[in-house]
Amino acid sequence: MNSDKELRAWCESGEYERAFEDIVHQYSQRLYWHIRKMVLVHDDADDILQNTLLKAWTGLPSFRWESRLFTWLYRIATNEVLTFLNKNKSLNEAPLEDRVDADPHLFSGDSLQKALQLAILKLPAKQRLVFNMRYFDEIRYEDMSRILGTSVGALKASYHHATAKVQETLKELLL
Amino acid sequence: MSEETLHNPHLKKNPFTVPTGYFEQVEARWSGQDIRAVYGFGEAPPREDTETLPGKGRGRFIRLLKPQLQLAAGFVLLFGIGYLLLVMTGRNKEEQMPADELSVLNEWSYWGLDHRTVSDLVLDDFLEEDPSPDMTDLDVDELLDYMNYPGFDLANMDLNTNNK
Repeated sequence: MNSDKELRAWCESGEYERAFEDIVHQYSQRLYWHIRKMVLVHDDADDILQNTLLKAWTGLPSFRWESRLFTWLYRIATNEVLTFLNKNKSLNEAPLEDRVDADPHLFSGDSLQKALQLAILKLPAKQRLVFNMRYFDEIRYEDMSRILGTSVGALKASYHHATAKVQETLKELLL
Repeated sequence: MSEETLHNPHLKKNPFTVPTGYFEQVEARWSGQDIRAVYGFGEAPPREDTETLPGKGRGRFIRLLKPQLQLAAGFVLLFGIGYLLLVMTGRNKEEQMPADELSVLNEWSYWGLDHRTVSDLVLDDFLEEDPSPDMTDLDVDELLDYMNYPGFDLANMDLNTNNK
């Protein structure tokens, strides 16, 4: 596993393929789970991951290494996710709540975990992003701020509201 | 259901799974020296400082207002152009007046008339109609009005007043 510094050195010497292979190795799983928690269905998550990696690959020569690579990649993935969700909404696709069971063999959680996923799905898309990034991935607010382009204060407030809503929905679901 | 449910470490575990060997396939898709040929390279790069989230805050607000703003800008531009034209033509008009006066006086000079002669003629004429002493203070505008009187012919006046 190589640091941003080494990856940058490879890019600057024109070894983009080598750098990108390492990027895929380091980040593809984290990016996939970030995406999957938002869209739930594996096939959609796979498509979005491929788009994210494609954009990262084509954009790598213009990446100026002023921000962390991880932040940049998450930002691309988040963009792709929100675009997908907006498109999904406008196409009147089945709501995500109905899709939790779409591929049951790919959901290994118990009833409590499923209830939590359903409660998270009740949140607006951006609040869901904040909740997932903080609750599951434990990403620091400062990093989230760079990824989502939102102030730390707003993110903390958003997470606080999201947590309260999820707790409330969980109570209703588990009664 | 306790308030502490979300602190349950079990809930933080990832409940999703992927098909066997999925991540190896992803890595294989993006490895090797042919990714440049397969996926292209350096096209439409997302820049780190300009990449924005879709529908985000101010950007979304501006996008929603964009058509209205464009329309308003169009109106402002049209009114601006109209106002400029009015100001320019008004100014030209003001500048035109002395030029017109001068050109008439030049014409009179061409016909051998000086300002005093014309003034005398005009005054004589007016005095016949109304011998009021106030009429002696005619200004240039009144002179011009008089000279533009229908039937007034500079050529005839020249003939009639030619000293020769």
